[in-house]
Amino acid sequence: MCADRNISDEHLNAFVDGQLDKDEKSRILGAINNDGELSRRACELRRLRELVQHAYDAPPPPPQRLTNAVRAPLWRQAIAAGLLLMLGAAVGWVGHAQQQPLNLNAMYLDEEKAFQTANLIQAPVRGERKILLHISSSEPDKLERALDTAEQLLATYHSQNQPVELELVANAGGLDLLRADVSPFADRVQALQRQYDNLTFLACQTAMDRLRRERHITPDLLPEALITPNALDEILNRLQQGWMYISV
Amino acid sequence: MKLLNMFCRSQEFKQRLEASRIRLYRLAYSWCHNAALADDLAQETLEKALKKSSQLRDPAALETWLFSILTNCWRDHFRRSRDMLDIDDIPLESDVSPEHEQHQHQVVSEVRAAIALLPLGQRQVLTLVDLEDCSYIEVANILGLPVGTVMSRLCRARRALKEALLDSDLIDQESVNDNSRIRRIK
Repeated sequence: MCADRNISDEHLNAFVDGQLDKDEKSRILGAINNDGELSRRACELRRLRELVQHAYDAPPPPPQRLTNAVRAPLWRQAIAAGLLLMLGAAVGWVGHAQQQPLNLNAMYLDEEKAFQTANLIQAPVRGERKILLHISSSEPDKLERALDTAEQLLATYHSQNQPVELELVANAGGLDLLRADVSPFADRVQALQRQYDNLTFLACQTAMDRLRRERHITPDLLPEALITPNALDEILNRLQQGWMYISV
Repeated sequence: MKLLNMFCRSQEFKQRLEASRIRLYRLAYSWCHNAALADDLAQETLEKALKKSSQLRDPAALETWLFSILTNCWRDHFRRSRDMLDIDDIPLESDVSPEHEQHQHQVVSEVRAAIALLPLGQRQVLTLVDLEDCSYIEVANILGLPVGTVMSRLCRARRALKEALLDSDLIDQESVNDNSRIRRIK
């Protein structure tokens, strides 16, 4: 391929990439001067190098990272999601037969940080009762049940004068509950928030970003909704802090 | 005082790490063409670097060191997701969608599409040399390969790119949507 048999393609690449010592460089420069074909090939290689650089001059911006805090890597989130899904299925299965809202199965971490599930009433309480409700489905029934459950929990503990803190975390389809444009229960969210100041509505930023990216929807949230960078991280953190977890 | 010094050094180290994020992201993106994954890989690399900071002997070699951590993260990622496949056998999906084409310069998407078709080993060598200006010896260290292999992979990668990009006319409007010629083999 090469007029000067001593100059291989590898060699010419090394020349273009500035990897040769002085002597080798002079030899190739000399050869290029006397050989139009070689000169053309060196130019091509340099052009390719520039094309590659140009192609990644401006890579697409990374998905918005709200904080630079250490974030659980994807696989950890995947495991967490898997665990929660399994738990959700289990809770759903048990909860299916039980109509009373307080007869709910909840998950928590025991003192050895092992996952436990128990009936909410029987689960041990360390300090103030703190409960996280998680909604990830957009089915109106489920959205309504999430609000029903939240209301009944708050009303029950309120009537017993027991302090309680409740978070309702919405991600994936559940985000609909807190979206101003589509929520079927905007009024109820507002009423509940007015009645109970120990209730927090949280929307998952990651889910919102996904909507924006995949469906080109920029969701507007209800004024009651606060934002958490990532619902799964929020759930894991709360579990670590001794909260009870209930999947709707 | 000693403690304060140590604290300052670690702060400075963190800042240098953070400053490398954008380059790690770009490199990871050129390997996987997936913004979310590239971002995760960059983050994982920085976290690992912070944990293993004592292993970095020569502060001047920070970037080469980070690139080798990134290589490991990338390898681990595939090990986790596809246990049985050789990463060199996995064709990279081209991220060039019609919407992209509208926004991105045609040349950029063509070059990315051509790079996406390279075997991963060649893609890594090419991007480390071209994007990060690594020397062949640095690339050999980062990827754990002999220098000869680095040179031959680079050579093959550029040959393939030349066929895909230079032997066709980039400005030829008729061929804008014809991706097949990128796969053409002489």
